[in-house]
Amino acid sequence: MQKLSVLKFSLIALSLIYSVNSSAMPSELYQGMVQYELQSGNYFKALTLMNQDYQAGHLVNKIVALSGFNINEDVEQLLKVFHQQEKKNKNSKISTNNSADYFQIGRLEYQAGRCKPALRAFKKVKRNLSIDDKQEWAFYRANCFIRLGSNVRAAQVLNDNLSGAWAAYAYYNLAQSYNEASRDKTKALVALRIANSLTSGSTSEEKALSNQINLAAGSMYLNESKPDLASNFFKKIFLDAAIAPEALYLNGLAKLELNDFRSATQSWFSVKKYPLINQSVAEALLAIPYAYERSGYTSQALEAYLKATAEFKNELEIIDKIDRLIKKYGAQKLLIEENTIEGLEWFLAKDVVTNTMKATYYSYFMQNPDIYDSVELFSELKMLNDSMQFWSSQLQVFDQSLKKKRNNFSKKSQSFNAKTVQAKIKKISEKVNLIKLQKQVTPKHADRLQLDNMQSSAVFLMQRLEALNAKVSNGNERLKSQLAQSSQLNLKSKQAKTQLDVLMVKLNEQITKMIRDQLAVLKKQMLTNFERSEQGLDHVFESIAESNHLQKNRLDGRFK
Amino acid sequence: MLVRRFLSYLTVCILLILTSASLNAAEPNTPTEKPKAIDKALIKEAEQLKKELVELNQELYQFEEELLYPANTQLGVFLSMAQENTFLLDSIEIRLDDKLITSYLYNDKEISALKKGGIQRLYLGSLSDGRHKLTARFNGQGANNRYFRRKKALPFTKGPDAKFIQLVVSESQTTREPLFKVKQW
Repeated sequence: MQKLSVLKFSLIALSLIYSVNSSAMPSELYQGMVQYELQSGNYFKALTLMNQDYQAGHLVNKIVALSGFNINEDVEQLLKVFHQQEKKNKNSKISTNNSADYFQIGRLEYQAGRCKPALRAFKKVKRNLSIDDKQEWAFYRANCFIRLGSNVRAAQVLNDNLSGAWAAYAYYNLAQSYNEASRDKTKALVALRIANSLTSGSTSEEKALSNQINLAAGSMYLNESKPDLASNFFKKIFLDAAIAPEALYLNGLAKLELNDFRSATQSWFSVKKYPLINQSVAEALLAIPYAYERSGYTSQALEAYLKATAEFKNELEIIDKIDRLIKKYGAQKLLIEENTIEGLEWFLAKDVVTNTMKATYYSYFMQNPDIYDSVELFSELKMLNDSMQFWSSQLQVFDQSLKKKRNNFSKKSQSFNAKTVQAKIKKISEKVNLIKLQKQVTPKHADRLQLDNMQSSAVFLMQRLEALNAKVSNGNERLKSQLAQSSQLNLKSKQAKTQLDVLMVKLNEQITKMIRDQLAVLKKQMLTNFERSEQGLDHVFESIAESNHLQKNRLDGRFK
Repeated sequence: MLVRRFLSYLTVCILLILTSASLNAAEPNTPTEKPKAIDKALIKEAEQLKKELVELNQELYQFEEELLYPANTQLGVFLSMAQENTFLLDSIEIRLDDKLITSYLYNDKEISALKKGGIQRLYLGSLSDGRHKLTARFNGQGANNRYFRRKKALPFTKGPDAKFIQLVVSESQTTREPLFKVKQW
């Protein structure tokens, strides 16, 4: 029983001693772990894994992680440090950075909107890139040249046997730039054709790009007064695409230019199934009666204007309702988090379709980059808050377990008597010595009896006992310090959680205000649509009133 | 009468202006007014707090590791992938002494991270000294869209120090079949 307790005790003591050296992981594994989190986009986890030594030796990775976790103030400072180091290295002609580092720096500079340093960094990237990286590299460089106003250089960058989504996006951007720079749309249309040939449309991202290309090509042809060609491109856009309302509306316009009123109204009628807060839908609603009127169907035009007016009025009421709700509940409760509030099922309902009321308005608000960034920050803080909550409960468990461990430890250490064990070992050692000294024991006998081995084992046991004794005396202190560390960490995480709560409340207030401002803009726009519809209605009434009089030539001098 | 005629002309003019605007514009109208952006002081405060929380999280992870997985009993299982590899790993199952300890389902981003030199820590736990058996089951698609389900067993001895086992997914140069290697640290 006593032996068992000694064994248990020694195990506890050993575990406590070894726990100090927990970071014995090979550096190759450790660095790979950080790299995995960075490449997977788990920037918070990557930052958590990075120790001081790693941060000092991998400046670029630190910058990437900080940028990914939106700690932008530090990113700017560290980028300056990187460029200073580069200058020093240039003078001493020693570079510690590799191609991947320059690639990352180029990307960060590009994302910050600084094209010249981005291009300088990209220039240092060696050409032996993988196919995927080469595409991305060409995309950033081409876009930088476009931003700097050189379409020629951008085209030169892209003229390099490229394929895939990155290259397709680059050609699309080049087409947009050509479109803005020149009245001649040939170059822009050629660039769009190349972009289209580079997208396979296999992924949702590529499908979206393909739709965007068709919309751009259609718009260009429409502006060039080639409505038949424009319509061909608009027809290629998928009906489930985010830009489908724009495409259908513009297709209607193309048909209108071809004097095909029937097709135009058909196209605009199909836009009606999309949410009205999309301005293309509103335009289509206003265009339908116009087409009716032009084709001579006055009563249908009147009916369509009345419908449009009713729709705009209804949407204005919804906007007012949502504004009141956001004011009452705040953006966090109503839009960001998933909640069920009694009486608000009409707004919060979740469905298999994506265009529910909440989803429609949410995606409308997210089109504003400032609101998007604020909601992203809010979700980051929420994640940190959840993490602190988790640690708080974990630390409570640790605390209880450490207290139990401490009680067991003091009991076991009391039952452990080092002196008795020491005396036993000494006795064994002395006995072995006595046997060895006996005259009958020849070296052969001693060898057979393994007396030397027994003696060295006794010495080893004595050493282990001394070590264990040291651990016993340290063990209590160690447990004590771990308990203190646990409660200190618990306190810190609780404080952090409180700070996070306060910050989230402040942020929620600001997001709520921004969303209400955005709603005001939408309301103004909807009001304009409503007024346009009313004016159209007036016009139809006027036409009807006029048609009741004698049809006279207005330019006829006799009538005047 | 004249007023009426004037009004009718006016409405026609307004409508013509409105419709011509919508005909000329290739894109629908967009709101011109922009709501105010978020307060910069608040962003700064959030960034500062985030930095503090990263540090606190580091302390917490370190403390947990020291407490739960002391180095002498520690067992870590890792996964890495060779860069030139056509094998698309779908999922992995790890068993220790015939007990399932972890399983993982991969997405494209994670596979890309592994191919770019990342090493995933699949499992970290405590294990007693002595002989044990680790079994890994890989599921995924290889060259020519062939589906693979391979098992790799590794008997190993856990000593008084921490034990790290790295599973490496690579590909045969000749047959282009996936290869699963084990590296012990």
